[in-house]
Amino acid sequence: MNSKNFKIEELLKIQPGLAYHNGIIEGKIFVKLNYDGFYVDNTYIIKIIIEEDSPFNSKVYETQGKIEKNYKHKYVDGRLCLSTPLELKIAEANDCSFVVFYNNFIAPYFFSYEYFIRFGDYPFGDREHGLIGILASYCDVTGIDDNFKMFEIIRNIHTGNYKYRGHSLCPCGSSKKTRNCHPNIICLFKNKSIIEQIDTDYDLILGELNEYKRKAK
Amino acid sequence: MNDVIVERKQDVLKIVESLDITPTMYNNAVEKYKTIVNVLESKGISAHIYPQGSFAIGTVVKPKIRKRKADYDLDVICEVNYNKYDITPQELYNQLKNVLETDGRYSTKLEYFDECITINYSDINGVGFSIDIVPSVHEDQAKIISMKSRSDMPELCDSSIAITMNKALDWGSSNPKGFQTWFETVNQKFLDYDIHTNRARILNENRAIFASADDIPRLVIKTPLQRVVQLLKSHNNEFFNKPKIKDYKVKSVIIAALVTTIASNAPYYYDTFDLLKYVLDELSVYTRLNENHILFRSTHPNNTIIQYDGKTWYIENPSNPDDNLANSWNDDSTNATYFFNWVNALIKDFEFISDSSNNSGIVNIFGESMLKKIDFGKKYIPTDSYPVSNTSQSKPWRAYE
Repeated sequence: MNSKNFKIEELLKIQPGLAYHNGIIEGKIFVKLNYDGFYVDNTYIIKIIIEEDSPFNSKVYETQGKIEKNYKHKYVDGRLCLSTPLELKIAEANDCSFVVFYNNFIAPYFFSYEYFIRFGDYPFGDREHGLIGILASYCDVTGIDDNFKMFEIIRNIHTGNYKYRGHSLCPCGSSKKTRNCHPNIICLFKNKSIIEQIDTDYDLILGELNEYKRKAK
Repeated sequence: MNDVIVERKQDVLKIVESLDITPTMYNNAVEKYKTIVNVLESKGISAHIYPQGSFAIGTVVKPKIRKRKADYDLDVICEVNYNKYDITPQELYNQLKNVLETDGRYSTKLEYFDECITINYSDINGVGFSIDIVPSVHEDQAKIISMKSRSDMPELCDSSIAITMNKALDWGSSNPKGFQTWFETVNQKFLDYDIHTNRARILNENRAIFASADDIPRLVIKTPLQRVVQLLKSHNNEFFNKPKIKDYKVKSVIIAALVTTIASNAPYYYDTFDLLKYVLDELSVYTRLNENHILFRSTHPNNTIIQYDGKTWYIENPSNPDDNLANSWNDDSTNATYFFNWVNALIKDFEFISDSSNNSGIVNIFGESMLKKIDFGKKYIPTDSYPVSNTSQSKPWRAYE
């Protein structure tokens, strides 16, 4: 991996307790963040297993056991559930660096966790597991506020029935041009990897829906 | 003890003192409610007015947000000399309302609530306060006898009163004087210890108000017990100062009752921070009750200040055997959940006082605005902490496995 491309050194500079070796970033992080009058000042030991292609595909673990076992935003193997793939892809499209990955997803994850333990609520909200959470993240990004409509749009993008062009009509069905109606939909066409993510998410949503149908029968 | 810790303790005391009612305001409030007694008497109503709640036990804390128009909201009981069965709650409420409404001093300052009549006084030196007057009569003797038979402290029941409730449609049972007496009994050992030093200090700081040490009202001298109640109340104000959870704020009376009960077993020579630690250590034990009440009962048979049998929460009000201070927890168990969340936060945040590496505790205890107001902003608001930006407010999500 060409680490310079992803600004690993910059991350190690802002979090000097971390070290990189053999595709893994590991060590102590200092979480000093505040929001809504609540200040977090804590340390965590983390392990980031890097995927070759992008920092945003890395798997992140908290290895000290400070995160409660039954915390719902953690996988069985201990991997942290940072965000939906779509939101990771959009951030990646803006700046594919470890610093952004850390600042926008890892540090806020620990802040959210501490806020949740203290106040029983998420400072910025959380996502439902599975397809509902995925659809909600698409709704947030695009400004569409209807899951069914959002799914239709995802399907139309997936099948190639909707391709954004300057004069395209908004897929929400308003008969207005997209840029005058839900301009944030354009975000979904920012680059190839986001379109690929839409394909992956479409398959995941469909798979989950079929599973529900099978169980219902 | 290192210098940082000594300084932090001094600063925390300075902050809590700044949240307290000043001796001038205390005297002013007393004068105000004594005037109300005279107004009532001039209309032929014989009544006794006395403070209740934090005003009575000397644990007033300035609220985070100005409630209505006032910085301080003082509760007083107006105990009218009627026999309970000679007047209905509505008649009593309306009598007081009519007298105050027709008096030029109060007519424009009144607000009416279900259980009290509020007088909003004009600000004095930029500080506003209101007095909530709760209409009441003495409790009937049969009920007092019955309460005494069920009380662990029957001597407290003599001062029980019936207060107007539910839009003055019902009588409710209360005993603020009994609560005050109980509190003062526990407080006495702390008051007796070092009382001369305290009086001399207060006299020195308030020469214009008090002519001699004997003139200083007892409530102006603050004991470690009162300070600990104030510290917990301040933290409670800050912790629940969020729109989503503000309704679950722990009631002041619960804080006062728990701290006082715990402090009754504490040594008399404890200072505020010894007592704070003692209280927090005891409260931390009860977080296990919330996790597993059956196990708790077998492992902690003597810890009965907060009780839970899997269905009902119970916190005794020593002055009223008919009152369960945890009633609201039984109506909505979220109150209990938030109480324990708050206790956990208390323990964590007050580590600031004993752990010099803890730099964020004090801002979570008192809040940024409070620290800035008394010039502790630069000293205690961490400068190496970054606000979570709009772009990094990510929401955790998990795929189904």
